[in-house]
Amino acid sequence: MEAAFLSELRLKEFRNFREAAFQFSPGLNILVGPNGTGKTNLLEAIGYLSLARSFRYHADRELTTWGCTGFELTGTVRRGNGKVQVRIVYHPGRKELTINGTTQRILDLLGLFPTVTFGPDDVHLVKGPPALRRRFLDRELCQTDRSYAQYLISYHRVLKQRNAILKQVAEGKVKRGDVDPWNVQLVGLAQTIVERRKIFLERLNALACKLYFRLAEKQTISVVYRPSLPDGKDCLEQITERLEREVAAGATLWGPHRDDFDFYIDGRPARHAASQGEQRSLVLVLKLAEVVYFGEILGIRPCLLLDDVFSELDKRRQEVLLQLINEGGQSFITTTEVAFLPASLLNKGNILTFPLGK
Amino acid sequence: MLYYTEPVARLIQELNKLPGVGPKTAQRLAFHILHSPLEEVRALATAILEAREKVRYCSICGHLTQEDPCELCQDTNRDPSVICVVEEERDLVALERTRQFRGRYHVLHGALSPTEGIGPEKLRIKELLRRLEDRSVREVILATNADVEGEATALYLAKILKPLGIKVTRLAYGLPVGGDLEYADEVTLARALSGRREMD
Repeated sequence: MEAAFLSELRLKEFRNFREAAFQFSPGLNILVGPNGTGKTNLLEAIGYLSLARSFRYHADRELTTWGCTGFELTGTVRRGNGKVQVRIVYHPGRKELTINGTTQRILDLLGLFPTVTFGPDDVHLVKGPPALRRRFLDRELCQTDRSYAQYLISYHRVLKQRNAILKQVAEGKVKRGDVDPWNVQLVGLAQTIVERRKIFLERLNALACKLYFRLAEKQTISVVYRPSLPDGKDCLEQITERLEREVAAGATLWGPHRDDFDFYIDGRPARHAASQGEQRSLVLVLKLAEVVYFGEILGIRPCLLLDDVFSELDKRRQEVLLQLINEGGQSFITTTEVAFLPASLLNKGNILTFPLGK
Repeated sequence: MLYYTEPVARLIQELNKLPGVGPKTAQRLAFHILHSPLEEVRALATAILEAREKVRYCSICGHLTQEDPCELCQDTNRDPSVICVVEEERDLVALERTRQFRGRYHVLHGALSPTEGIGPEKLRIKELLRRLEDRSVREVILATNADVEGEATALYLAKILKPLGIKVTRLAYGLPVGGDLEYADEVTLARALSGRREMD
């Protein structure tokens, strides 16, 4: 399968990089160094080129070097025989994207350089708050489906307007009927988003089941989507009936922004019952499934950003991850000690030592 | 800290209030003005003042005009039975440039936006309803923007206009003419597809 990989990256005033330039291997890149030297920051910069957003979900202004006002990332992405230069310049309130020297909308970035991230925090996907799982959904879907990103942006805009008008109804400033035009749009967009999430999770479920088996786990798993949207054709009526509660809350109480999905192990909800090991296995197969999914949809092997994951995985799980890395495509791995990595990786990796310049 | 003598500083300050003009641009513009011949500056100042003083809104359609009602509303060659509703004067001008529409206009001066505190009462909706009272209008074309606020405004208007027995239409969603299909964004393309029409 064709891979998209980052051959060069220049950073300016991004996190702890005042000015830095890197050249990467199309295969494995290993970032080694003590904590707090900027390994994860570099991963974050690489991931930023996928969505023009931090995969740690930090606001753009927090990515700027302390004391500076904005940052600049310039990357060279290679796909097949093609070479694409991506440049993102951020200043407060403004984000500019240029692709091969021409200004483009951020939307045009999506799917150009897909990445799958895997870090220690991902274990919270199983038991953590629903917001984490929604972010996961949105990150994957935005990278594989640009129209999803457009619908999502519109959805949040309508949602904001609708919440504002619900508050105004509660304060007696406007009539209940004034909420109607926002209902029609919100339901339309919500249904589209829910439909896409459903299709995605169904596919992810099938892939994860197979991969879990490959991990030589004895149980069967499933991923179940729980959309927060009244079912059926009379969705709009059901919503209107519930308006009273929403007015009291001053917020929209249904819709994709309240969606969730659950994992099951042998029919038991993993949220309550999964052990540490089971959670790690679940998240691992979820990430592996993502890679396969990206391949199916985009025809491209995404770049893997693995943040300090090997130290958390036992031999058996490490093996599965190793297989994936060895299948080809670009990977970035951070680690504090070379000794945490399987020996087989070290001799083929391009090693970058942090702190830089030592 | 005062770097510029007071009149210059004040000029910069005033220019800085204009939309899209930051402190640096304001400074550049101010120096351009200071270095220009006095007649040119006077012409600019007069143009600004006159535009502001002489131009007002047409009491019928809400377009900018020197005389009330405006030329468009007085033009007897235009069809008074069709009203095209737009958000801003700019939109009216854009439609007028097409030379395709021979009806009348109605400018709302905005779109519904609860977050900005813009409700129906802040738009020129009452004025529109008044224009429909004598039953001479057959069709209202909703030409508000295709963004979420424009769409909400169109939905709101459709809901109150339809019971009056007036034909309510909405501008078609489609592809930009002369644009390549491959460059259209996915949502535009999907909408164009669902709004496709049979060939004559």
